[in-house]
Amino acid sequence: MCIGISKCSWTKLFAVFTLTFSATAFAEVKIEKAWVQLAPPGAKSYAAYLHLQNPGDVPVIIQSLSADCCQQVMLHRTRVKNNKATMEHLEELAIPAQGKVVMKPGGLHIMLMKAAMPLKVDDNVELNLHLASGEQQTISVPVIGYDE
Amino acid sequence: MTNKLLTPLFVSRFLLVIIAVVFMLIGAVSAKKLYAAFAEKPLSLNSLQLFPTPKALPPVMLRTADGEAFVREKFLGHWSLVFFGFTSCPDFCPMELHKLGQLIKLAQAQGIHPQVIFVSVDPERDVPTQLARYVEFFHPQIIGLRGDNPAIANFARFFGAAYERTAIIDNKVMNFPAGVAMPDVAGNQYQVNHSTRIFLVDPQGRYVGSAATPESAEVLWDDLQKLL
Repeated sequence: MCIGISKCSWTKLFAVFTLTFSATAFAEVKIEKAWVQLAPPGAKSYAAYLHLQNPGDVPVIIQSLSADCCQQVMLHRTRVKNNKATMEHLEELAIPAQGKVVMKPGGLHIMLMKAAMPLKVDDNVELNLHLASGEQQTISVPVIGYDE
Repeated sequence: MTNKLLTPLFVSRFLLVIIAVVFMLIGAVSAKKLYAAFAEKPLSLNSLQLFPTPKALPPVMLRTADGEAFVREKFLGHWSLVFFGFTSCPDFCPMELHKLGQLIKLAQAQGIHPQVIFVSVDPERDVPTQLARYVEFFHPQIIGLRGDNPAIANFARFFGAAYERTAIIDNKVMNFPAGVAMPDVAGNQYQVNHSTRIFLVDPQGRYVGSAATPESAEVLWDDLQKLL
């Protein structure tokens, strides 16, 4: 730990500066919780769940998603109507200013489809959020099993 | 000689005893009524809804993933929980099957062995090996069933479990109702809409009720224990 600039190497200080800068420049959305649910063997699709928070004063719109593990990534919402579950495809997802969007099993989720290789517990999926502002936010999402 | 029995003191004591006995009798009667009221209190269930009269299962024409015939008699002697879904379902089915797997563990910890059955409504994609490894992931004792489309549709209809499949063929959304086979041109990316309820069959092989997306395995197990 370096206390005072004199004791710090300039490289360290630069690293801290870069980290802080990049965090403010790109973190349009705060990810409070994120996981990819481990799927049974043979599965080609996985569900990912995020808790997204927008600290900004303007809505953030996620227009599309991509991931390193899977050819296709979609935003879906499971809807239950008359005791029947249907999957609804969402074109985009808006996180309201100062607002929050919570994804959870049985509701809003990200579908990771056509996985090149089966995902295992402790793998990390690089998930890219393509925002309407033209920016891209990349997050690393761990694959988790069912806790016993 | 004055009659000792008629002294005012004795009379008042005698009256007190009478009053005490009367109150005791009233107490005993009301306690009995209260107990009876408790005993007749309706079963309070949180996730399960029961029918006034159970419905006996029809003949079952399904097979396990191992190819073994799964007939109606397999329902006898234990409680069964039946859920309809498909293995390419990444969100809803895993959520419910995980709960049902946990329910088996909760029940077994108390020496009870309910039968959990997952019926695939997508037999074209859910080939036996796929169905077997899918259910095993959630609990090795979950039974995966499949069959011909009409047999699955009949079994589902008995429970009132609706499902259908939709595919985009030649840029047109086509709907394939329960019982209809999926044509090869549908590919393997089609969508399945399916019933969300968990159906309960009693050890006499009668459909007695169902639960709609219980909050947790514990909530469902709490209810189930009241029926055992």
